[in-house]
Amino acid sequence: MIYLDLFWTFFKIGLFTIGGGQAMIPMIMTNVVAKGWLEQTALIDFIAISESTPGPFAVNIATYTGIETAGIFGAICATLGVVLPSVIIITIVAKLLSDFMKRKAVGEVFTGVRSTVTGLLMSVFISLVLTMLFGISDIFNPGPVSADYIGIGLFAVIFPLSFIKIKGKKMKPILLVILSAALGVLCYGLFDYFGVVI
Amino acid sequence: MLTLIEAEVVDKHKWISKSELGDIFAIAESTPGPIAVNTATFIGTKRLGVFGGVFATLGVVLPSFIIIVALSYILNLVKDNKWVGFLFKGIRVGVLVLIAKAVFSFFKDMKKTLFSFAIMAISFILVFVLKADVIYVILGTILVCSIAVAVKTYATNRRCHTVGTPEYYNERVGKSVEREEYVSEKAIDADIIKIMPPEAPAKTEDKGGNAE
Repeated sequence: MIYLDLFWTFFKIGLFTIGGGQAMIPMIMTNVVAKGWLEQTALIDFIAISESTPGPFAVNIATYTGIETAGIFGAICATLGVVLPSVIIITIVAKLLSDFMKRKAVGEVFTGVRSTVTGLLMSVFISLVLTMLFGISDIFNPGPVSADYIGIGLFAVIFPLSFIKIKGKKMKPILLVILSAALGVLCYGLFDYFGVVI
Repeated sequence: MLTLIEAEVVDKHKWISKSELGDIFAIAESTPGPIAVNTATFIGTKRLGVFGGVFATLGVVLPSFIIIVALSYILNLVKDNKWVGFLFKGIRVGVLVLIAKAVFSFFKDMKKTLFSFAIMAISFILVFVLKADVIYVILGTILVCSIAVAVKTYATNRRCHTVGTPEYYNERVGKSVEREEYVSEKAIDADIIKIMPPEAPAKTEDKGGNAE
C-alpha cells in the first residue's frame, strides 16, 4: 500500500538523519528517487525550493514527495513518518536520558557519523555533477557524453560567487537560488533566442 | 532558525533558560531527525510532558506542510512553460553549488583524524562504487564507532587504574618500583588524566560553542 510505504520510507529517513537536513539528501536519493516517486531533476528543483522556503528541509521534502505520489493523504503519511522518530526519541531523551546524551562517548559516536555523511554527500555531489552537467548516469559504463556546456559554465561562475560575503555574512541559500535562476533564464534564454545549439 | 527559536522561547515566553536551550540544541544536533523538530519536541516535553511535545511538533510542522502543499499546486501549473524550464535549469546549477558548499562545511566540522578520514573514504566507496544502501552505511558507522569508543574508553580506564597505590601499580605493570620511582611514574600517568579534562567544565564550553 502506497500510504504505508510512504510512511515507512520516511520513518527510516527520519530515524537516520543525524545533524540536520543536508544529511538527508543521500538517503532521499537512494530511497525516494530509486523508488520512482520523484525524478532526479524534480528532487533537485525541490532542494532549491526547500532551501528558499521556511521550515525544516526534512518536513518540506516529505510533504512534497507525499503529495506528488499519493495526494494530500500521502503528504500527511510521509510527514508523519519523518517526524515520528524525532518525537519518540526526543520524548525518551527529555524524560530519561538527558545526561546520557551529554556524555562524551555519545558525542564521539555522532562525530563519526558526521564523517560518514561527508563521504555520502561527496558521492551525491559527484553523481549529480556527472548526470546533470555531463549526461553520464553510470560512471563505470559511460554511454555517449552529452555535456550541458551552459550548465558547466554557470557552475564555474556561481561557485566562486557563492563565497562572497555581504557585510561579513555568508550568502544565504535563497540569494544563491535567485542568482542562479536569473543567470539560468538569461543564459539558456539567450542561447535559445538566437537558436544556438551547443 | 535557531536564533528565532531563542528569541521566542527564551526572551519572549521565558519557557526555558538560555543555558538550557544550549543543552537542547546540542542534544537535538546529535539525535536522529531534523534539528528544528527535535528542538520543538524537546521544549514541549520539558514544559508539559508528552502532549506538550506532540503539540509543539505539530506547530513547527504545520506551516511547512501548508506552504509546500500550496506550492506543489502552483508548480504543476507552470512547469510546462519554456521560460520556467530555463529558470529551473539555472536553479539546478545553484543546487549543485549548495551541495558542494554542504560538503565543504561538513568536511570543515569533521574531526581531522585518520579514523574519521577512513570512515569518510569507506562510506564514499560503499555508496558511490558499490551502490550500498545509505541507511546500512550509517547504521554500520554507528556500530563501528560505538565499538571504537568503547575500546578506547576501556584502554584509558585501564591506564588510569595504574595510578593507585605502588603495590597496585607493580601488580598491574609487572614492574617492581620503589615509592619515589612510583611517584615519577605516577606523574606520567597523571598526564593521561590531565589529557581528559574534568567532565563538567569541558561540557559547558562545548555547548557554548554549539549554541552560537
